[in-house]
Amino acid sequence: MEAVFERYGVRVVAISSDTPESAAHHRGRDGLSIPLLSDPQLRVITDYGLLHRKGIAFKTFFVFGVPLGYPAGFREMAIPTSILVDEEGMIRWIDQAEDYRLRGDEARIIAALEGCFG
Amino acid sequence: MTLTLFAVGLSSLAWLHYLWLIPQERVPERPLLHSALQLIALLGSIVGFLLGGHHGWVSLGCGIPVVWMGGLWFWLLTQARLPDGEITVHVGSPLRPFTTVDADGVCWSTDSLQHQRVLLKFFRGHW
Repeated sequence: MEAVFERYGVRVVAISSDTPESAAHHRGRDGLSIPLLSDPQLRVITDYGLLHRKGIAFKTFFVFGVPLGYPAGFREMAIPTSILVDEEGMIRWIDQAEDYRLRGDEARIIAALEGCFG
Repeated sequence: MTLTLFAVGLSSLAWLHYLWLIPQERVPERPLLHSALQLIALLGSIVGFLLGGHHGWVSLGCGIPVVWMGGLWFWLLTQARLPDGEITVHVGSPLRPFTTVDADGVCWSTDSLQHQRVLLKFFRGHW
């Protein structure tokens, strides 16, 4: 989707409850180029009303590219949410996941970009 | 015993296929096929154990991981639904300013987003 974001001149920034160390590890493991922000105290996440108190924490390891792991308790984390902001700082689109298994749908994001900035 | 071994293989295959889909972001919204395979594996392990005869202890040994994998599968599905949030921003409102740190521990502020189009993604974190 990098090309799509470039086409619309959109910068992507991600934030989670990971510590900076975990975020740095995640960035290196998955080869991410976008800024990963840390909110381990859940201050920003709570301020936005996106706190999920009973999120499942997983211990994960990769075997031949397949993630294997097991649930390792519950922890507080963000409800996956995408917020599209224009150059004037106004929110143009919000998308929230209803299911922790599902990531942001590419087609929905592209449609939102086209609708807001097309 | 063969049936129970088949059940172990089927349950493992269903799990591995589903896990393989995750990094590709192709997780099915309704994992009916994977759920059906887990159910078949569970039934197969039960029938295999009952028909195990003098190999019953082998069937039991194989059946336990099938029950564990199947039980974990369905339990995770019951936990999938996210709570209704109480999001404090809405379309048409300004982005709520905040400061935090990035992955390098450097201070970061929404001030750096001025005059830019931004997709701000809140996510659950590493896994």
